[in-house]
Amino acid sequence: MPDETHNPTRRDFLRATVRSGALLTIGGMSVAMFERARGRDWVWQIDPYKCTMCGQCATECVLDPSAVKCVHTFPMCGYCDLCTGYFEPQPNSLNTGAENQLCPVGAIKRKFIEEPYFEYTIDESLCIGCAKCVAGCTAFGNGSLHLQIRRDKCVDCNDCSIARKCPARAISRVPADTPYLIKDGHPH
Amino acid sequence: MNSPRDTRTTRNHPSGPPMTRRDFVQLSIVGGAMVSLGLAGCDDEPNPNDPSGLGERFTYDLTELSQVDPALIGYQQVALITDALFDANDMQLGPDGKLYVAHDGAIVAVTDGGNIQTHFELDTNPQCFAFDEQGRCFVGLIERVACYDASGTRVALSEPFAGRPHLTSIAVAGGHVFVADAGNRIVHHLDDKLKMIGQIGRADDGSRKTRFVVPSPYFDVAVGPNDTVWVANTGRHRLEQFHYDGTFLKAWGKFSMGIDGFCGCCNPSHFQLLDDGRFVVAEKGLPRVKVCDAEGELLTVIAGPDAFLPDKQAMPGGLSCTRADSPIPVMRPDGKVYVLFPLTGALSLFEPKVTP
Ligand code: SF4
Ligand code: SF4
Ligand code: SF4
Repeated sequence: MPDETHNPTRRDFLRATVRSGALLTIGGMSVAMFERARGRDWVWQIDPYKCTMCGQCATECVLDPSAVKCVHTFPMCGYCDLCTGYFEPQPNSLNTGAENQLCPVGAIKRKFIEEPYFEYTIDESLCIGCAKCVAGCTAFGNGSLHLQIRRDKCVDCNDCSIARKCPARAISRVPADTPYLIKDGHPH
Repeated sequence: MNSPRDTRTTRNHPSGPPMTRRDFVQLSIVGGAMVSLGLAGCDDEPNPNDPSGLGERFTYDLTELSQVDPALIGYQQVALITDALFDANDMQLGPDGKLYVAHDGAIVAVTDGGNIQTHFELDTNPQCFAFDEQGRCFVGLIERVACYDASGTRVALSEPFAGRPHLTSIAVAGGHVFVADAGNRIVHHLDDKLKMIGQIGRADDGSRKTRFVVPSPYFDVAVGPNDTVWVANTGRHRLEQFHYDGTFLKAWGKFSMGIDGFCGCCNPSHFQLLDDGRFVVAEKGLPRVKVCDAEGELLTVIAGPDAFLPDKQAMPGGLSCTRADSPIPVMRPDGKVYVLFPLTGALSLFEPKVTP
């Protein structure tokens, strides 16, 4: 007998945690317009579902700091007090003390929303794309933190030196008007 | 039978062949292990433990925290029953003593020999299920509950729950049906005709808020003695007991990456309440299965992370988007324990170690 019910995905669950006004840190600008203005046909892009967080995005980019940054899909985030992307695995206490923070350069900001929820944002000027926070978020949380090559920083090498090293083959070239491949809570 | 999810293709590398999601998971685990072992085919061989060369401060390393004192492990794996239960959502013993699994759009029966037989099929992937004393099966379908008789015929269907329902666990006893709804962070209390009786978990201040913190879609419920239910308040790392009328009674549990607590942002991911008051609890993140006494004191460990993923560091980004990264334990009346790990599809049998 058929069930008169649809089957929403886990994405629906993750969206249920969205707080009003929360936007993706990567911004909502029109990618196509931006890229056309820069005269680009192709851009390099990370598939965050393939990335294994090896850390080489921080070291293999021709730029210093890397064009790869951590981005945050707020609709996937649990807004956890004990965020495993923000805190060391066994923090002394759940506060912003440097000794408790996972990010080696202090690029993640923690802001109280309402008991017991906190919002986490990335300061891209500090982030070097090392993926440590991504590993913590992926291991225990919903995986809402992930890496992406920021198109306003990347200089479009013919042969992306990170892609050459990437052990997960997570980086590929895509048409410039392709939207950022951002995690959306939907397993691919 | 193929799962619609198993056959969904991944976003492929341009030069790669189409890949199923199962291929992706298996390759990712193997691929990650290669990195860790320094076998990946890159130009210069990176340090397996620090491919970026940035050093310890930039490396997320769970190796030490994944270790479990062997003296605490009181069980041993005696059989790999099957590895075909990839992405399964729930596992229960039936009133007939058989093992049932919610898998691939069906409730299937699995024998100790690894034979998988469909008990009944559904249009949608079952998220959770529970049997009552009469053999009726109550199935959670994300946003509502269906009841099937022993022949697999649907005999009742609830209304969809309001809000943003995402059902993750069902417990049934004596004509009462308790449904854990991770999306709304509440436990619905229904009768066996699937009509609403009440809810458990509303905040004490009378607001619409709930007392449960559920960051990810793991939210388990079990019926206890004397008209009580136990609920996993995962974001607070506790198991909490309530009267059927919603009155909070007591709780146990604490955060710790150590084996004596619940790790990560939100655990325990699954639990089973035994007749003698002990709990079998499972965690995700560091996949662990252990037995605690009625007060929450650790008694023994059934399986640690090593039993599930040989290289935990290899977890690729896509895997966090599944509801598959937690072991699901079911202890039999004889003390043997089935443990299903949906990420790999492996169903294993564990037995207490024999001490000489
Ligand atoms: S841990 Fe690494 S990737 Fe994450 S915010 Fe800090 S620098 Fe960026
Ligand atoms: S294309 Fe060049 S600049 Fe862009 S991410 Fe790759 S190495 Fe860095
Ligand atoms: S090199 Fe590849 S696997 Fe490593 S962090 Fe970058 S995208 Fe992820």
